[in-house]
Amino acid sequence: MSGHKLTVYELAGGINEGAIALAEISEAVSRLCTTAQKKYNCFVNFEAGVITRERERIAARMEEGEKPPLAGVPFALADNVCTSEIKTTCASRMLASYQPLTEEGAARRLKDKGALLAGKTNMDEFSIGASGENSFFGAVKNPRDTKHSAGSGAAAAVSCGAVALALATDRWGELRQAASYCGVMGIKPTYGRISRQGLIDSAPSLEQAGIIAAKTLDLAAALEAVSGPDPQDPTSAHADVPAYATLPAENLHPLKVAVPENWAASPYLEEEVRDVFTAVLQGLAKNICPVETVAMPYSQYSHTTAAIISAVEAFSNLSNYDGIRFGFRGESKHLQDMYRQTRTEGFGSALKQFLTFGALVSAGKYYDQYFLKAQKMRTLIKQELEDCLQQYDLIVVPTTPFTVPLLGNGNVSLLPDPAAYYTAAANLAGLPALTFPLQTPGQTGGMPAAGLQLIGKSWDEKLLLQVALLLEKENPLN
Amino acid sequence: MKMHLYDIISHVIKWERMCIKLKVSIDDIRQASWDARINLTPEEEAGLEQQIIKTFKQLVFLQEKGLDKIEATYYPYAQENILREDVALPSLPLETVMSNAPDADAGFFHVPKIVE
Repeated sequence: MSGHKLTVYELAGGINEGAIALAEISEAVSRLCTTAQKKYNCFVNFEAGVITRERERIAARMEEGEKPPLAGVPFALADNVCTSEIKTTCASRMLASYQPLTEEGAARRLKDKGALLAGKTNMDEFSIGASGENSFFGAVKNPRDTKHSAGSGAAAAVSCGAVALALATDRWGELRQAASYCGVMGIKPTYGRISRQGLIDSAPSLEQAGIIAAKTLDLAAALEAVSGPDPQDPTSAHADVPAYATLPAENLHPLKVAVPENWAASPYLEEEVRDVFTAVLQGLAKNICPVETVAMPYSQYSHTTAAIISAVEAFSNLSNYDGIRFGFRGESKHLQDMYRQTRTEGFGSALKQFLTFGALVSAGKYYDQYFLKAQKMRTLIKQELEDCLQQYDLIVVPTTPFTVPLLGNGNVSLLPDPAAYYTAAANLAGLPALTFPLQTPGQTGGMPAAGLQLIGKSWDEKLLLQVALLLEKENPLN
Repeated sequence: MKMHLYDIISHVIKWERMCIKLKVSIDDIRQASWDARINLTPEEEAGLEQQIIKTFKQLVFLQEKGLDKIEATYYPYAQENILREDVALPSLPLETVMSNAPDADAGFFHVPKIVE
């Protein structure tokens, strides 16, 4: 596909000007997605017919003289983002035949801008976890090495070039972790930046939509397209949306960057990640700006704190899956028993255990001891990050403490999820965070060694994108 | 900083007391699975018990950090109502709304009987 080397704006511009044929792009996307599905199990719902229908819709708009800013740009949606003409399953037996009634929020905005929906991507059931293995539709394989986890079908689809963009959700870092595993970029913006309307989320105070892309400018273009207030989403914010995609990478100096003093104290930290990240800190200090260590004693508790809050919210949020109004129904002659059969047969084992844990810590003696205290710890973590960001422009940490896990190694713990050690803090505080792929110095191609995570001030996604653009263009880390 | 024997013993006692607090019983797990309307297999119960013990051990900091006077944060930012214009908009047709129901007819959801 000739569009591969282009940014999404260049591709859309070529299509709008007639230099690139929309039909050629849609055929190439169809072919690439078919291959990606066979090789990596990226998709839950992928039919070539969907792409044809989408192409015809875009072509009809263009025939009427419209020039959509993302005309023909292929994108995928995680299968917990509702679409009006494709099933939305949340990778669960519970919703295997669920057809959403409307299509709103970020998915609608991408389509309104002319982007070409290629399909719905595979993920962990109800987006809880980033192993890519807890799916009713089977595990997702990493395009860079199929023995390894991809984290999610959205990241795998971008990584193998089947689509230019993917919209997925991030609850305690799943989007960023998956992007890091697949060697691409991912951004979770400030909470409220992107409408949550149309998401089937499990943890409303933590989970939000974000973007995965292979290029910084693509990430910026998509973020600009989907951001902004939404009268249908009370959590969306009335914040101005900057023109991200036209921001220059110059004039960044002098930046002030912080790294938590105890970043290397993670019990899950692998030597390879430690070495690569240490080299990154040295590269930043040499070529961009000094990196200062800052005492941040509470952030190390983020992943466990997020596990408690997330489990309780999931227990509450997923309580409407009872087999009456939609979704799977378990057979029983009595209503109460039907509820239990529905949920026992409709949910996978890991999710059932997670929801039971949520019920446990919401109840009686455990509520005050764990859930309430976790919400108080959230206050301290948020305060700690915000205090740091009053003095510094960015906080840098690894994205995950380990290299890409092997599939089937049993490392799919949700209680707590070690992969969220560095990512959950941004969700607890609602701050924007971006992951940038890192290789071992001297290595080209193959599996990414780690991800560099940039955490910024509220509403300052602009700076994250500017720094990512600088890293991408000049490779100053080496 | 040197620690005296008294300090070490009092730390051990504090730790043991905390471990007692951190225990979870199978009965509590069964009650929680009932609350969640989920039947767990014995293997799932045992696996969850181990995960909870492991998690509670990692949550000792919640008992230690003097959190009582800290305000809880339930959402990252203060929530404000975003209201649309108070104008009636068309609703979805009834048959569309009920189209995903496993068992429905004539505008009603069919369910198994509620009373014996």
